[in-house]
Amino acid sequence: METHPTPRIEQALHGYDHGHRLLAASATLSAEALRLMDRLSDAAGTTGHPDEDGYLTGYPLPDGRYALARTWPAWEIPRPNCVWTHTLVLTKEHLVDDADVGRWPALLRRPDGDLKVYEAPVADARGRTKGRVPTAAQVDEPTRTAICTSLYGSDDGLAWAESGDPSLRDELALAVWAQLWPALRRRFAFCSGALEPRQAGARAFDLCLVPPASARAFRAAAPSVPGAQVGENVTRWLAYDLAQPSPPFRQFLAFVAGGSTRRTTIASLANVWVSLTDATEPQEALAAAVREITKIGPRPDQARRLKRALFRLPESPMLRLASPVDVFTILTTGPLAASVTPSDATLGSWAGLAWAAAPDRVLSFVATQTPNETRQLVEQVVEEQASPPDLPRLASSAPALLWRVLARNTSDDAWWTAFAALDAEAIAEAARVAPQGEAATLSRAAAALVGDGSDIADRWRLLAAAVGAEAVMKPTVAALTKRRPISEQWRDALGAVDPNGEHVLRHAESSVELAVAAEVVEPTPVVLGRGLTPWDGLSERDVASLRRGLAVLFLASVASPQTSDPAFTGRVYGELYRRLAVDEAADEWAVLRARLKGSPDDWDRCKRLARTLAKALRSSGSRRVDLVVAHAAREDGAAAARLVECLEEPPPKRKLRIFGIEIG
Amino acid sequence: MSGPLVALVGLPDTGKTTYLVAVWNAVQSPAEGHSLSLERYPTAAVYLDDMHARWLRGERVGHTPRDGSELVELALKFNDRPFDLEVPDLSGETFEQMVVERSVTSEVDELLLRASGALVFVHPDHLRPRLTIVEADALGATASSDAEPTAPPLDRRMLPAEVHAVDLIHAIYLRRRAEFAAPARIAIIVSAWDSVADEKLDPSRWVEKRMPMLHAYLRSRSGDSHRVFGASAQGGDAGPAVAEKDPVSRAWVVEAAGDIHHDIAAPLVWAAGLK
Repeated sequence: METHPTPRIEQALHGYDHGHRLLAASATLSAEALRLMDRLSDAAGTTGHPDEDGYLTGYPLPDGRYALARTWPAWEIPRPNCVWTHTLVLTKEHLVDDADVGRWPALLRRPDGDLKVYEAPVADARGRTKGRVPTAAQVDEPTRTAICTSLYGSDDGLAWAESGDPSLRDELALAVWAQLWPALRRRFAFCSGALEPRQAGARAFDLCLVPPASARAFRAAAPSVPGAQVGENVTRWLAYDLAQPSPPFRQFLAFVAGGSTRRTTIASLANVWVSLTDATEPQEALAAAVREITKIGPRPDQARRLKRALFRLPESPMLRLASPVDVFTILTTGPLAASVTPSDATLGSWAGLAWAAAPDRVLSFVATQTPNETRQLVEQVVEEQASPPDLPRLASSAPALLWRVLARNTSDDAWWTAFAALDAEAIAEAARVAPQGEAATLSRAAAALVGDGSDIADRWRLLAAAVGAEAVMKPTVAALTKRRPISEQWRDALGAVDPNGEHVLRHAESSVELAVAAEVVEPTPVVLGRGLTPWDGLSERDVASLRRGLAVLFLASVASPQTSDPAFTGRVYGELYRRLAVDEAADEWAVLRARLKGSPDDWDRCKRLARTLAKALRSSGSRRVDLVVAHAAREDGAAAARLVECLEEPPPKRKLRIFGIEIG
Repeated sequence: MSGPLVALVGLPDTGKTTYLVAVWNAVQSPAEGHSLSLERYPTAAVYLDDMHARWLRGERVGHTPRDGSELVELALKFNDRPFDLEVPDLSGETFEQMVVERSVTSEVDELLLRASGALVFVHPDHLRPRLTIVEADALGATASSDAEPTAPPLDRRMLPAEVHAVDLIHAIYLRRRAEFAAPARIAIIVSAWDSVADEKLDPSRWVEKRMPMLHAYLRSRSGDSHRVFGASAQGGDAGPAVAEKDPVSRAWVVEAAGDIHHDIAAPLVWAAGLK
């Protein structure tokens, strides 16, 4: 059932009425078209007679339409050599479909007295007829071959053949006409019962099929058309196609030939087709494609339809004939790299297929190709199609591309898990080209590397060293808030990157982040010299959670007693005193041991703690001291009492040393 | 070929090809009184032979299709002098196109310019005489009427034969003058003369009476060479009866003043300037 309306078909009838003339027509024809139609609707010669069933004539009209006609002898007219001719005036739309070529001749009718039927257009043409692609299956192979050789070996000039059977002449004419693509079909002039060579305007007919009685006139007037040699395998294929139409071949012709109106185009394209379809090995097919394209269209702007037909996915025949990787290689670095544009070849799609089959080959191209449009296209494909398992190869072959892939997937945890699994070498390679301005990506990368693996902190250090502490510290500190207590390897790693805790402290915003910062910073003079001021945001709970960090806070408070908040100082001292009093507090003591005042042999760590604080407070005012003591007492009463006791002790005399001998 | 070219001019069905076939018959089998004979048989005589066979059978000669126009080239002898004659047998539709559409192909144009002379054929069946105003008045046909007359659209094909003839002759004359070609000899051939023989008029008088416009035109061009002939190339109505006549004497010609003879080629000889 037709789903689209058929453009109506105008028609005309010619016959003899005191001269051969137009007797009825459904539409007005231009004077030029009418003159041509008047002439070509008349008998196709004076010698011989048309057969009872008549013959077909097809020719282009000056106005761009096409005339398809059948001519019958008009036996009922007393004057000999008079004819009836019914002509269909076809538009471009009528000649697109191969099946329509077989449909329209069935509409041609010999008049039976009523001429008025020819004064209206043919309605519902498609509904009234059965479409079929004409074939020349009944025509012998030598005739088909000879016609193909002479017709397709040159762009102009008459090709003719002799046959005594009018139905076979019709069959061959229609089969040839159907074999052509629409643009050439609309220009093609043929006659299946020519009695003499015919002209359509200034051009000779393309094809005449001739009854034997008229062959002599053709031999005399129309010698065989000289033209380029059409290869035997090509004519064999074309002759075969006349008998057994190949829809893929016809589609290939229609697409690639496009608007060409040259008959020799079909020979060229059939040559390409045969080369490809005869290939038994993938390399043969590719070599054939390379050969034909290099010959027909060496420049990117030449033979573009052919190139699209060969390579454009998903219809590309190369998909069946060769491996995607080989096709990709030929299009990117091989002989066709300069001949076929990426868009004509749908290079992106081939890159995708090649990536799925052999990603290393694709990355090898990316790694070695100078930046250009093709490489950009392939990189884009990789960005879109890479998956987390591809990260190791991206890191080794195209580390810059790795970062672009990660940038597209910052919210996908699978990618960061894969990133964290990269070995040190891969991380180092990636870190070397890490994009300095991509804060979000670097942040995610740093956070991803905060983990528990044996060398994970080392890998983090590689990244941090390459991109700078400032770029990685905030996400790292944030990540470490979930990994407490902080391990020594992370302390070492951050300490190596940020020895004075500058970046750590700048990016520790929340109380828990400050707690992490306290745990990781080394008690360097710079850190301690800041006093307790940087730690003002620590909550009591987070202070209580500290380990070595509590010791660092204590040391900071005694290093700058005048600037440190006395209440904070008292709380830190009290908490620390209580821990030292009740348990080993190994982490805290490790930090305090060398820095507390007092004899190293003195096993009373609490005393040493109190003495250290008392010494620092001696120069402070009483109010400050009172506050420290008061807040210490809240934490631990014994701590406060010990502090007061140390504050009331006289300061030790200074011992004199002369030549290493202590005096006093 | 370098000899004279004589064009056969006329609308469809005016007897051009029949005349040519009758000439072909005559030159192949010249009898006494015939001015032309065949010097040698042409290499491409299929066209003529095919139609000659019909003519001999008394059948109507086939319609000459527009695509089937032939340039007949004959090696002839006139008074034992050999010469070559070209006679393009063009389809009548070609000349109909000239008078109706006012156009002609370049090939036909070239032939008409090259021609030494032309035979312009008119057929008595195509006279299509019109009423003059005086005659219409006499019949009362021009009385005023309340009803608005509805004139049919003009079909130039249906104009009287004399209008077409004058049109063709004048077109040839103007074209040749524009190219500085010498005036051609124009032989007016009234075909199927056997059908009007009963009127007992010689061709000139017949044209004067039946085709007064053509007559007046020819008189106005008295300085040019023209003659009127009557010709029966078929020898009578097509059919078995005419086939039984002796082919040598079957066709006949009537000179302007009324002389009758069987030298069917005579108008051709005159138009070619041989006589």
